[in-house]
Amino acid sequence: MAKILLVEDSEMNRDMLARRLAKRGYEVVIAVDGGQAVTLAQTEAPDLILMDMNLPVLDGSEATRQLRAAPATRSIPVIALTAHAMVGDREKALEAGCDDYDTKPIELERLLGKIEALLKKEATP
Amino acid sequence: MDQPIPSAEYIAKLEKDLAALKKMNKVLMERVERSVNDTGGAYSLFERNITLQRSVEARTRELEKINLELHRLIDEASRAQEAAEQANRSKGSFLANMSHELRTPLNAIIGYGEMLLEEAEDLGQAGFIPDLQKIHAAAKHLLALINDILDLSKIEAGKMDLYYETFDVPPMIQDVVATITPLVKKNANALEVHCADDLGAMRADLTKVRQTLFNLLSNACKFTEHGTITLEVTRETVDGGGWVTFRVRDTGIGMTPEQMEKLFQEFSQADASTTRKYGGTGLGLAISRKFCQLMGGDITVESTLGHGSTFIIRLPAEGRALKAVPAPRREVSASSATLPEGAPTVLLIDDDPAMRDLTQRFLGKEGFHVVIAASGEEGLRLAKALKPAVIALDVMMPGMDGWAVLTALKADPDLADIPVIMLSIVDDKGKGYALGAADYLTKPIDWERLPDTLRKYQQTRQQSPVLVVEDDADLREMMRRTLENVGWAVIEAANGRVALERLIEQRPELILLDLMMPEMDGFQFLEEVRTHEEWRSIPIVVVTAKDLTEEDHRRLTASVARVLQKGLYSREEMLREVRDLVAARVQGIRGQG
Repeated sequence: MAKILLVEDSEMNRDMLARRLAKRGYEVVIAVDGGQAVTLAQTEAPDLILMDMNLPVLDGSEATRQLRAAPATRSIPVIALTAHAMVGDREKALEAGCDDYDTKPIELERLLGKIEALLKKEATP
Repeated sequence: MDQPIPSAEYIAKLEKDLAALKKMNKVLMERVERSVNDTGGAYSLFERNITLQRSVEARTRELEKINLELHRLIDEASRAQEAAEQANRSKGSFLANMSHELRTPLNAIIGYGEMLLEEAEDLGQAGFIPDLQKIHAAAKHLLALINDILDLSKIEAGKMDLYYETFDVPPMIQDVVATITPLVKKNANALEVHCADDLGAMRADLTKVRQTLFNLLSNACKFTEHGTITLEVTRETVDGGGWVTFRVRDTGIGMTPEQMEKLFQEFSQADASTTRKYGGTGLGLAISRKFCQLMGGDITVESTLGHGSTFIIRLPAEGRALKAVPAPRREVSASSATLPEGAPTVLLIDDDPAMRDLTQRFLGKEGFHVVIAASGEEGLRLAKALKPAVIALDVMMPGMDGWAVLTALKADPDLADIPVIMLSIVDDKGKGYALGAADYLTKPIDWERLPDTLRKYQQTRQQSPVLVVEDDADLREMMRRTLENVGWAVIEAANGRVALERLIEQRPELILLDLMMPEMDGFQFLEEVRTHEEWRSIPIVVVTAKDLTEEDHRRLTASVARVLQKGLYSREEMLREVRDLVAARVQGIRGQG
């Protein structure tokens, strides 16, 4: 089953999403800030990354930029998770190189659709 | 020592002399009397004058006191206004932050609720499911309320950004219809969709158009049972502009005129009891309408109690925000005041909503077409899209400030010739002019001056050029920049001979002429110009440092509109004078023509 790196600093959001993804059979790896996300992306080689945009240490767009700059992590699809209230987050995320975005609060079915679409695209290059 | 006895003859002579003397004396006495009388009159006049002067002085002192008091009151009022505006801004940002903070725990409630629902289903605990569903639904409703409040507070704080994109209308309609279908079925309604064939693409904020349509359709569903909801989409051209119209018609309960009046107000549904019966936040319509207005359109309504309602969204097909909406027949809302065709467009860039509102209303009354931008970025975008006649630009704004906007405007060849008037609390004229501003008004804005200032610049654009004849390259350059900043095209000539060549190529609107120049000086140039019939009507303003003699004056007054002495002004003053003069001269000529 696909391995997903979930980058989220809010404990409750992380817990909810990790458990629900695990329940649907994904292997979930957790990072709590942008710096950790860049490290884990290298060591864990996930199939997909869910990246909160508003993160400590390195924010989501900067972390994505670093992922895109490194050969090992360049092609891992990234879905940005943006807060509804934050105008411009969406633009920032796509500019940094995210493949897609989804708006919080997460609607699981909608997010799963996006995850599956990107994983399928990766599988059939 | 006897004296000789005078002769009778001699006595007679003496008597005659005496009589003459008496007569003279009388005349003199009369004169003296008259003179004394006159002096008395003058004195009393003098006395009266002093009294009058005293009373004038007393009045002046009184007036000064009143004036002082007035100034104090004005100061107080402007401080109070400042405080109110500050409070308004704080309120806006407080609401935005608060909504964000409220949302975080609410998301957890919704998320864990959903998880529990799934668990309950998986574990076969069906008894828990209805309660969990109620928690979930209530939390979702609360979230919708918070989202609406956030949207409204953003609109009110002027922080609602629009993301314009070009999209095809029919797929967007399909999308909305697919989303609304469950709601249509809920009250056993039918949905009919009529799309005109020529809909094509439109340019607007897709998300907001969708949200607005969804809102109107879901209202129609809510207030109609066993009826028909019709969505009709058409495209039309009004006054040369393309408009897309969405009509949402229902066969529901309808409204009275009184209800329609309150319809678009925040937190007010047609009736207070409506909220209890039909749910909803009561904010949806107010928000939808504001979205449409931000995009340059509007929402109007037609309704008869018991016979359903029709909501009409009109949006510009090429979204550029804020052009007067064509008024539909029998509409309830009278939104935008109709402006005369060809009213000059003023783009106002200011982050302060109170200031924007005030300026818009004021200039609207003065016959300007005011387009509003709440931020520097938006201002630049609108400037590109609209090419306004004049831009009024606030200096202190968060993010991109006025200086940055001004610099960007002047760096863009398409926009560089639009005159920019800076509006600021800080008096920094030097910087403004150096960066290319046409004028600089300090806040609080002098409302008398603003429209005149705008008018002055709005007319100077896209005319024939001004010919600047000046041998000092520095000064010529500065004059050129000063005039270009206010929208003039400028031709330069370093002396009279070159100027004549330029005259042959193109007839300028006006000539600015230095007198002392090499090769051909100003006087010779003037003589040449006057020999050509077709050039005689071009107004010429002499700008000179020469100490003019009587003879010079005589020669000039015959053929020159005005003489500006360079030495009398600082450079900056002189340039301003040149600029104002050019605008005034040309307007004067046009006025006569």
